Amino acid sequence: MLSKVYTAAISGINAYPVTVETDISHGLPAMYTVGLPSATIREARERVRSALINSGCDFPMQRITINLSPAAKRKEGSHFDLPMAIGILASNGSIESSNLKDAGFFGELSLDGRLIAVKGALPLAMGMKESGVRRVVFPAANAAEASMVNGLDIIPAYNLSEVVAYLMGKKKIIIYNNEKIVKNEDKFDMDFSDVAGQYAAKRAIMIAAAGGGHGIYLSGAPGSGKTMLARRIPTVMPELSYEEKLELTKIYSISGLLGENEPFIEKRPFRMPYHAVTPAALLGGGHIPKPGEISLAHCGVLFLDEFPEFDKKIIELLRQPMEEGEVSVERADGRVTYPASFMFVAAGNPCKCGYFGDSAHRCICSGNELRNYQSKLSGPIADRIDIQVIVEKAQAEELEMRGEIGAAENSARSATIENTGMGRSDCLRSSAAMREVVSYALDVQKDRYKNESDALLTNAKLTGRLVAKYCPLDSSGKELLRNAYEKLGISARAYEKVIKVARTIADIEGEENIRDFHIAEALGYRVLDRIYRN
Amino acid sequence: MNERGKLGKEGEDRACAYLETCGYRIVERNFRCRSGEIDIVAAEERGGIICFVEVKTRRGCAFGLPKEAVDRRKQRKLCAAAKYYMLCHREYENCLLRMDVVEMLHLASGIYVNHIKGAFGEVS
Repeated sequence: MLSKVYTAAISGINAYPVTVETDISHGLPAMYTVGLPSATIREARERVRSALINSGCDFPMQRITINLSPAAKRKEGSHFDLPMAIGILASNGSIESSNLKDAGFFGELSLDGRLIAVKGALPLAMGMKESGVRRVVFPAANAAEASMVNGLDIIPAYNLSEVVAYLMGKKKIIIYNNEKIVKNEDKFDMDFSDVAGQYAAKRAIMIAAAGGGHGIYLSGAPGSGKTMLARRIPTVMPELSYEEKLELTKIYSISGLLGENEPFIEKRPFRMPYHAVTPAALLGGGHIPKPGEISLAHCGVLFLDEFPEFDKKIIELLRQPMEEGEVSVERADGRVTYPASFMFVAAGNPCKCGYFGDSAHRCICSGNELRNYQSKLSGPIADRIDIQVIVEKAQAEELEMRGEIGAAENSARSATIENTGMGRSDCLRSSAAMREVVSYALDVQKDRYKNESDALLTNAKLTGRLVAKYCPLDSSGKELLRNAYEKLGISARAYEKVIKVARTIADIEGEENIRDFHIAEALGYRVLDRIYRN
Repeated sequence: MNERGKLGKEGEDRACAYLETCGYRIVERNFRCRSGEIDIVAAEERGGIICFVEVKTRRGCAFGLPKEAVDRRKQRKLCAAAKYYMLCHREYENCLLRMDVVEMLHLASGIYVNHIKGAFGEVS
């Protein structure tokens, strides 16, 4: 007899519906799985057999053929165990087939019949919903994650016999209710108030975040606090929207990075790949495609520490994803696309020994070493870094004062933009205050670009034509920029970048037009062009 | 018939007797075809099952248990022979099929019989 059970399979970060067709016919006992199953699915035969027998069900001693339809798409994942087991029972007549029409099934089986959590529960549930299924059986450990989808009943189960009893109407399973989940909101366990001094770097970071993610490079001696600053960048970015959370959770779900205690991603991610990272780990890939670091940093920060140590080829690979905000992985049987819209943050020492330009230490690098090191920073990717800033170590007094400010500042702060925007160091004391400024600037941009085709346009993403349209300069600004262009030797691309950064600075200050001092500050963020030229 | 053949024959006779006491009907013995030989074809009429039984007899365990001698290659041959048998006997078309192994151990202390039902499935 033939039976049909509904499930889904992952492709990229989305899922498509799959029908598990099971046919039991006369013949020598055997079980065949067709429909391009991966090795995991072919091995399901042994798990399903043992799980059925150990759950007190019959395993038919006949010829069992299972087809995963659509048959032409390669399928991957351990979540096919449960639908296959249910398919066999339905074919066998143990379960009424009419009970399966509006239901979807996911779950990996242990040999004793227990249901084990699967990867990608959220995208799978979303895929099921689109195919018109009303209720979905999931391993209990996946229920919280899957319940993020609205309008779908999630039925949490612990083992196979429970599912069978439920389908036979012998047992009721209560639909999972996600109101009980404690949301950990976007509370960070770190704050910019932990960082003593560093006002210049903090302001640069605030500007970078306020422009919707200008690329930023932090240059400084070892131990000056580059990494500490970078780690705190997500704390000043605005809260994630529901759509962003959903997309991020999908990415983390298929990567198997969600814990049972953390079923959703609520915070902007911070990813820090090591400089020996492989192309596949960075961009995504592998025999069965998997998202890479740049997708895990989606909506958050991708931080490349010791940037000059990275292989040039690896850095070049980042160009296209950075421009497009997504990355495509090509495979013989199709291409998958992962979102990868991140804020690019890099840090490095100014030279090999680390003390070039430092006031307290002498740099011991030779001229050749210096040139070698610096050549690693040039090139097309460096052109994509809008803001370059030097991180100097904090003064002793600033280190002593740390902590005192943080506590006092956080409790007393209810300042509005009008008095934080203009004050230079005032709004840099804590992440909350910086975030207020960032959100304000982003709102200004949202309003300004509301008529553009790309609804999510920000200053950082402006292209040539749009720069001309939205960033007019007054005569003194033009003159300043022309002087800089001719005398400081900044490149044509950098010229445009300066204008974009100046636009963001003006937005932070609440100014309609870009003024000459905005240009001057933006020019100040081209330090690499300057120090390495001398 | 040599010594070894005699032992095998004896084992098969005992296996038949054993299966009959268990309620099976012996349908055919030593079914031979190009692809192999099936020692016993038995029917369990209650369940509508046709069993293809391979009998393995040993005098001791020095070379492993008797059932261990039914390896992949042997399984494949038995399946091929079973399929051929089913083609020749369409009257059993609607029966369930099962591949069994009966192992016999002739020891000084007595004869041990072990009937493994559904010992293996179709081998690809």
